[in-house]
Amino acid sequence: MPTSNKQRLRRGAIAAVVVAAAAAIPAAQASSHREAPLIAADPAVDNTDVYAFTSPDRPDTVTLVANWFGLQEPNGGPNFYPWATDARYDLNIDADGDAVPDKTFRFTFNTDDRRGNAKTFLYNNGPVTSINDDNLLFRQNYSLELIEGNKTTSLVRGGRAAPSNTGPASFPNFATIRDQATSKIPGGGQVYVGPSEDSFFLDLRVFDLLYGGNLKEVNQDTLMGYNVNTIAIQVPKTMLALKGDPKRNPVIGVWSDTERRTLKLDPGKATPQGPFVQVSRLGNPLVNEVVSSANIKDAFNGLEPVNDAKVQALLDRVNDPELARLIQQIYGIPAPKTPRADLVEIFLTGITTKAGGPIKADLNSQLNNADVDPKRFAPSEMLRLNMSTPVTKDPNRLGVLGGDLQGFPNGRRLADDVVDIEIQAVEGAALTGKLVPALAKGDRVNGNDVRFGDKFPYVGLPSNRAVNSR
Amino acid sequence: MRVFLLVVFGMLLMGGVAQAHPLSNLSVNHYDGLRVFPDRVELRSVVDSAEIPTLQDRDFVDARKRCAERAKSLNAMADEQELRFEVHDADVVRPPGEAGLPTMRLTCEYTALLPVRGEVEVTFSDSYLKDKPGWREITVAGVDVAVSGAPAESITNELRNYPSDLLSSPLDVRAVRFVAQPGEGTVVAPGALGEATKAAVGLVGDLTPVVGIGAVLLSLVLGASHAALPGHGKTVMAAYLAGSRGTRRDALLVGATVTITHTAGVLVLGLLLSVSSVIAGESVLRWLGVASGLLVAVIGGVLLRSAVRSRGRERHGHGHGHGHGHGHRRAGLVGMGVAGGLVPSPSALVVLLGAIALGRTWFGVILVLAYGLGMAATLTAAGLLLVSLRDRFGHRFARFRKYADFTPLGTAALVLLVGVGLATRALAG
Amino acid sequence: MWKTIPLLAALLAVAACASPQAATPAAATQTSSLQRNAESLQAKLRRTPADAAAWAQLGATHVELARVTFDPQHYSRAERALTESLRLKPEGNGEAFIGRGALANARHEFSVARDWGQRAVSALPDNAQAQGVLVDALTQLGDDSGASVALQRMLDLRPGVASFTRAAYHFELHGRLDDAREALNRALESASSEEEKDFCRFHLDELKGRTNDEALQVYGGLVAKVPSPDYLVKYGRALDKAGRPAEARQQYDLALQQLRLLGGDDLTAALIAADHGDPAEALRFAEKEWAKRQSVFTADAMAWALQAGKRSAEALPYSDKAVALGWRDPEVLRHREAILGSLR
Repeated sequence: MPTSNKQRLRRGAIAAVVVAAAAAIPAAQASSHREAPLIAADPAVDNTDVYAFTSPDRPDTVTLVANWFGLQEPNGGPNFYPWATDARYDLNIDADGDAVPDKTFRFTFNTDDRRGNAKTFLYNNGPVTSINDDNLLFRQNYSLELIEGNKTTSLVRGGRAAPSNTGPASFPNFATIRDQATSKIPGGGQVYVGPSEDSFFLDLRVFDLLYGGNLKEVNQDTLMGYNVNTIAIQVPKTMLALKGDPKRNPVIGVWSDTERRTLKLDPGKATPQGPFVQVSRLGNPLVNEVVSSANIKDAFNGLEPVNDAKVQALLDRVNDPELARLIQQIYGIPAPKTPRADLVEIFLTGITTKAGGPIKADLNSQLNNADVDPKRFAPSEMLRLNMSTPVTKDPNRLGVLGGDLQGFPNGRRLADDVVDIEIQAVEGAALTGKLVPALAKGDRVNGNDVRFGDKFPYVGLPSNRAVNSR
Repeated sequence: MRVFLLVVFGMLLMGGVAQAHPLSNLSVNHYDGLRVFPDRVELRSVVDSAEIPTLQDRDFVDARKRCAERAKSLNAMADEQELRFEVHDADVVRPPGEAGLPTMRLTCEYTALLPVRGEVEVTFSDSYLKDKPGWREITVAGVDVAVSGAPAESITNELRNYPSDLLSSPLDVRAVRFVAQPGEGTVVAPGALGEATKAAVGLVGDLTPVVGIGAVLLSLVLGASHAALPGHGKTVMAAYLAGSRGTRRDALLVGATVTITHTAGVLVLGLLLSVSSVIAGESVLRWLGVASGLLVAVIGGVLLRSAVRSRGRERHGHGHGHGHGHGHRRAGLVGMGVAGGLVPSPSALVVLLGAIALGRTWFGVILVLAYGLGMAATLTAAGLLLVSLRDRFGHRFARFRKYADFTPLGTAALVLLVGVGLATRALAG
Repeated sequence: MWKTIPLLAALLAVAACASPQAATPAAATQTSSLQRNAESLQAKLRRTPADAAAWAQLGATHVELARVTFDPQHYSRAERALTESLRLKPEGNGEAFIGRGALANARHEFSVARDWGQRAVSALPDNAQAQGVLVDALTQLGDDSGASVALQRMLDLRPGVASFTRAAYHFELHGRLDDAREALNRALESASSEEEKDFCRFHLDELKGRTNDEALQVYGGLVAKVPSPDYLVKYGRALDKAGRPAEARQQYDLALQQLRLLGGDDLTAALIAADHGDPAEALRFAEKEWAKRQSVFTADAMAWALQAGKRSAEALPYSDKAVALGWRDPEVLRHREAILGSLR
């Protein structure tokens, strides 16, 4: 008897027998009252990652990369992962440390759907060799505006977003399309909007298993082969720095968020339109896994950084992270003493000696900018980058903890192994300067499966092969 | 493996546990069972309609006509050639469902010509009532033809039983692609045994003295036949008896140990399962498998050591050391029996769980005991047969004497190997 | 002879180890995003079966799958997954509370659903789904102001397809059809799966009104898929209008048979019985549901059941209540006109 069948059968037989007694639950009828979707995923507006680093080939510029719409399966079929047309995709910069964006790069989209004329449901009828190919029937265009306080400047109008990669037959050479979808920004920058291979690499199961209590099954890049929707923007450092002076004020805070307009139910209004509300937010990687929790996750997504310090539950989570306690349970590695002022520095203030924190270094807090008013400084969760840190020739995947000051948490490069870094940081490595040996291997996924490019937009070309065909 | 499903089905059907349609009273469920012969494909197509679709189905006149209509939604291609399914038999039954409403089970038997001379790729799809909710299952078995690419066994027993494991999704298979080529057919577990098991479980539900005795006898037979099927425990035991120059007493000892271990194992696991969750049951079976394998491996190791030692002694001209290591051997035999009985037979387990579910736990215990006795009878008989065969014919092979010296060593190595293999497989499974 | 036995054993062992793994069929299954979601949760739970949150999400996904596929076996799966989640984490398990509430709503146990919704909201005060459970339950229980508050909160937490479709229903019940259309259009724009888009398009068409030919086609198709009493009645009505009373009668009979024999929704049963069955039976059904919840829906059923029994004067106050929010459903208005007509 073939083993697998036998075991499956045992399983089936036992399950059926055990359940038989309880199986007489009357099936309810689906009818009568309006049953609207409830558990509606909204991936198009969900932030997955943010990166910020000095461009290695153009060190006078900074590249910001933000991703949305995770886990896109490029299974060759007619699968398309459009940008939401009723949302605002924002990349925010805070250089003066008050946790309010000084500058926001805002992307909004509209759809140019030509399938109606072609009478097909496919996104292209035939191979697409350029971004203006007539075969490309579903197109999305974007506008990019720069918002500085009350001032709004249009940077790109009618920009072309690269389409989802629906397979080698449809897109014989996606690199060409991607180049064509890269636009120039006035003042010496460039921007790419479109799909890419998910730059984030980790074994998501690490978190499953930490919470499930068995960290054995690691070392598979769970995101391998999935694509994301990417916005990458490269701008001169002078455009981002406080007072346009990256020498005096080299530190910036970066986060991205997505907003969508709500509805107002109140009767008597001409239209039920409501204000824009923030539905997703991301600065530091894995903040929901490491810092936040199920209970405050929803609140966090709607919370603006300026209010972070008022949310005690969030501060508590940083000062006493659950992850450290879990690791203590599983590995017997004692959790560092709380409250965790070192983590407050990493996540909420930036590493500096000016906020009374325990890490004796001045690396990436806005407090280190010469023109920042410390009285107006507000701790908040964002990714902080010191733009004056020189580009490392041979980057260390463990970033600052690995002695490479250009890496996470000083900004974040595509190849920084943030899972391993954050696990070490939670175990106190930033304070002791020593890696915790038992966890040194982390999730054992040390790099992405697709090589990153050495020029803008650096991210991997989107995969066009079904994930489970690998 | 069909055995176990039949068991479950038998219990559900005869035990009167489930009255409503196993799924919902809105569902229409489909099963297509393809059997590939060297010259043709036979298809059994079952459509199981729950109460409401049955009520709704006013156009139904006769099964043959419906089966002919249904054939239109079947699409099969063998390489480039389209297969045409002709109805050769049709049947409809209307088992009562919930609230006395009828349900409908339509069975269509089709044949299509398909000469399998070389390798042929077949695609098959079924789009009958494609919008209705329900299970959809397709199986492909070869009869004197090798097929690959599709499951051979129906996990729903042709829509009579719907596994409800929460961690697997309801089947929704509407198309398969498989390769057929001349060769050995698909092995299917003996049907008669399955029927017998079904009957035994069925009897549990409706208990009279005659029926009770019948069920006990049947369990004896089941146990005996279970032990007669090939399995590692038995193989290893046979090898051990043969290799360790066992006696008739040894054969009896092993039989008794298997019975005691197995009965105790089934009882403990059965009671555990009836109060605990499904997952626990699965992993217990797995760990028992591992334990059993390790036990066999340990015995193999001990054997190997003593075999190596005794070979060493023989070289020094001490002749056959009949006298040494008797205590060792007895322990080894008991260990072997424990290993053989440690992993409960699923069918015995099902009999017990069925009895528990029907509120007749004590009778289940008796049945499991009978089952174990049956197993022991076969095992002991096999052991005795082996020993006497060896005693009678062993000397005729005297000229192979020098090879015989290697036998204990070889046997021990084999036992070790099989033990490790069993443990690894249980662990991986 | 006996020396061959080890050889035989070896062969058997090799054969057993080398037997093929059960091949997975190269199946052309249609998987929706919900189905994929369920499968990835199942995979996760196979690795970590003690993950209470994943069990809760699996349960909620099954409730959603039941809604989309009309296959109620998902309800029992949902129930079991949620039970497991709550067994693992009985306290403060907001995600399981949401699933429980959604399941109760789907089963029309609205006061149970309200209780779960309230527990969910206190465990996860900023979660839009928790608010959604509460919105659905309160709407059906007739607590309009409570439902509005929860819905506004849901909209502010997460403007998206779930909150926009609920807003559309809210507007519809208040007679604000243009706003309902706008809300549905916004829902359609933010929908990310085909099921969600289908839902929005279906209700946009319902709002627009269908010609009788369209109604025949749409409801005929739905009845072929899911012969639920609601769809049967709508199909029957279209058949009646098309001058096919015998076929229409079949649909009503099938609906009544289902409701009488298998139970289900007393509200629908009351309305069908009032139109096509026994007025006394209709009133029994309506009163049973009215006892549970005093909403515009049950008020309309009471009114129409009383009117069927020629008790127009008693029917009127119920009819008043049915339109009190501004609900202008054509059926509700037809009932009201009949009542007012016989009182004149």
